Amino acid sequence: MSIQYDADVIVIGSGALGSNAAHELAKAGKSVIILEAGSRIPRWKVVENYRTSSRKGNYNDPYPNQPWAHTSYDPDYLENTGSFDFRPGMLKLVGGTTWHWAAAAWRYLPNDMKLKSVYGLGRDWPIDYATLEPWYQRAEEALGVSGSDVEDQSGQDGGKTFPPRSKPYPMKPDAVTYMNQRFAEALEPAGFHYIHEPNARNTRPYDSRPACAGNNNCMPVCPIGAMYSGDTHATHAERAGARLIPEATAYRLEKGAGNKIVAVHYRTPKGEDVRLTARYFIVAAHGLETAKLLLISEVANSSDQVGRNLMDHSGSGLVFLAKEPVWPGRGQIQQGCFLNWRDGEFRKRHSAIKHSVGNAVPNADVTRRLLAMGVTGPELDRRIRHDAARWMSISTVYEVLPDPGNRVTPSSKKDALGIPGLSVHYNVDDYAAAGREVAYEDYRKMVAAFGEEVIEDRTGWQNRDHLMGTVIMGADPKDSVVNHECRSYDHDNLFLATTGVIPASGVINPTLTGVALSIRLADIIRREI
Amino acid sequence: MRQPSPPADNQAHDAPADAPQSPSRRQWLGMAGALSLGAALLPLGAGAWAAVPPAALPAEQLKRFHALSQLLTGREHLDADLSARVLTLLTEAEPAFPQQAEALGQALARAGIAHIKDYPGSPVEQDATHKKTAMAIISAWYLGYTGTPKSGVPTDDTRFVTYTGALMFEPTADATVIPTYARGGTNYWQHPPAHLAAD
Repeated sequence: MSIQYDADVIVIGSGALGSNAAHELAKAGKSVIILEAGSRIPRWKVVENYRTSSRKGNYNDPYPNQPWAHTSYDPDYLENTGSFDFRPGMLKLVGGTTWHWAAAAWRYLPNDMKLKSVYGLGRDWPIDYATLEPWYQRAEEALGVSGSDVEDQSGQDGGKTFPPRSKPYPMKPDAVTYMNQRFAEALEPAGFHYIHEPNARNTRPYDSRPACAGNNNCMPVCPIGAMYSGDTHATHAERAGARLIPEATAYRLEKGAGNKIVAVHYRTPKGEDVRLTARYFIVAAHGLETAKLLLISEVANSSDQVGRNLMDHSGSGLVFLAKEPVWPGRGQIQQGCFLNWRDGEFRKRHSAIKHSVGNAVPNADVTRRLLAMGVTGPELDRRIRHDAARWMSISTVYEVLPDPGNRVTPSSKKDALGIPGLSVHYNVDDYAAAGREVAYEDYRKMVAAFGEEVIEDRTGWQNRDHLMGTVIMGADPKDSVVNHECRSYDHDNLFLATTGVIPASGVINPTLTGVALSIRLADIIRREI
Repeated sequence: MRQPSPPADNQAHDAPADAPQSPSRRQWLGMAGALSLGAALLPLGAGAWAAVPPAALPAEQLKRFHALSQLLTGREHLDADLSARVLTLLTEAEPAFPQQAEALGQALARAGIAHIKDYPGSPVEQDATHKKTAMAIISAWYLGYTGTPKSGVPTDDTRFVTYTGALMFEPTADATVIPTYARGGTNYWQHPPAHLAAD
């Protein structure tokens, strides 16, 4: 007698990673159920919430924060016990946290994936760049990435396309802003090479979404959907036949015979419990929540590494006034970087570094500063214009190394459903701190070449919301949670679609890599069912 | 934290959508009609703006506060409904605010200050209490909110006044957008604003 299942595959989480995996499987004719803890919110409503928010610098604010589906900004839901307040801008709604990313869509470099063998630090990936490359391409086509086909993205100005590509980017890059043209020209003599940031933002109509018109609001919400967000593939998956259940918080993965996962249990806001069975399970519930769900389910943790090795690209910032008007705020909120410290022998001594040039309309920051200085009247208006035309904001990220002591665990506090929240213990490592000293010297050079006045150059460590390491991937089941397929070493029908599998952080935003791995694991599951 | 709402519709903020002042706003309304749709679907919360309509404020007090706002911002064109909102919200945060605003207005009159350009360096600015009151009013008009934002937490003491009406956008209106609105189309940003040489 054959066993009856509720679905071939159940995907827990409707963000960019889970939805892309679900879409691939549904397209292939598999029956798919997607569980999403949060609600479904239309874009126009998020935009109106933003426009009427009194705290526009708070990127979670236009989104739901429910007693049964908290965002990460709720201190009772996400508590910290380490030296750093680790607080990524996690959302819970259909489409997930890519509703408010800035859509940077980088590929890792071959050396990023061989950190241990090349530089003797951290860990190697269990797969190499060449193996992953075809799925990088598919991920770029799924998200709609615009990028340069000719630049050396290692930042060394090597004069050739790097890392190697099998096909061109789906879309051409957007034009370089006037500000970045001037800044790049000024920094070139000091050895800085400006690199276009590949990003999932349309430069022509693509996948039924319009081209970017420079609404300058990538975070916290693109009002026109020119920037990719995970709701695109949540919808694609549904149209391909997947069933998406919002307001369904998974709280237990159930083990059965042969170490298989046989069911997932979820709870609704009304407290109803539902058990669903499937042949395969994909947990795609965010870098922190995925680890928590495994821990409270007591699965997949024979290595004792679930929740450990938590990494962000801990960051710092520089704000200064340029020596000439350049008018940030025209275009998307970021589009280019300086990557001189992306790869090299120095990584034996200090972290890799990425400097991104911000391009957000700066009026709120400019005006708050002037008001705090007591500037009023015609002088206030004059200074707003003067400073807004010159406001340069650099966001720097540092590579961090996996440390089992940096970890997420279920909190002793519970949400309205009685499910534990998140407890994080995180300290920034010496490797990143050594990198930051090098970045401070870069800040000095940038200001010397293009600056008039430093506003802030010692920000302290900042969150960068790039979750990695918590369900670490590796070649050895004794120290790794998943293998190179993102398959649990303990349960062969359990896959994890999360940037939490990433074992070596590099300095690039990890979402594109997460989508590539998610499409790849969907291919593997498709072949096995 | 924000008041829990029914699961079906959790996204209403306390304030209604913004006053239609900017051309971009009007255009957008004309194109999409989305505000009226939004207003119809978004139930108003129990916020101050909804709970204390401008009519509840004494007309004379409101008139004086509006005139004070005009003086402090150096602008004639302020929206009277927004004046009522600023007064209501600042009073909510500081019950003595109406008296402080009256005292500030009288001090400015006594000092013969009829325009904000004469305020810097004046005895009124040098009085810490008056200065605090003046900056609270100026800040609400320029930034479009009252209170102090806190990062990384779901709530703080800020309250919404206006978005497109925030005066901080006026000095740059010919060069940059009010975020979420657009101008120029794809790649317009490769060129600087036409008036760059004068900036």
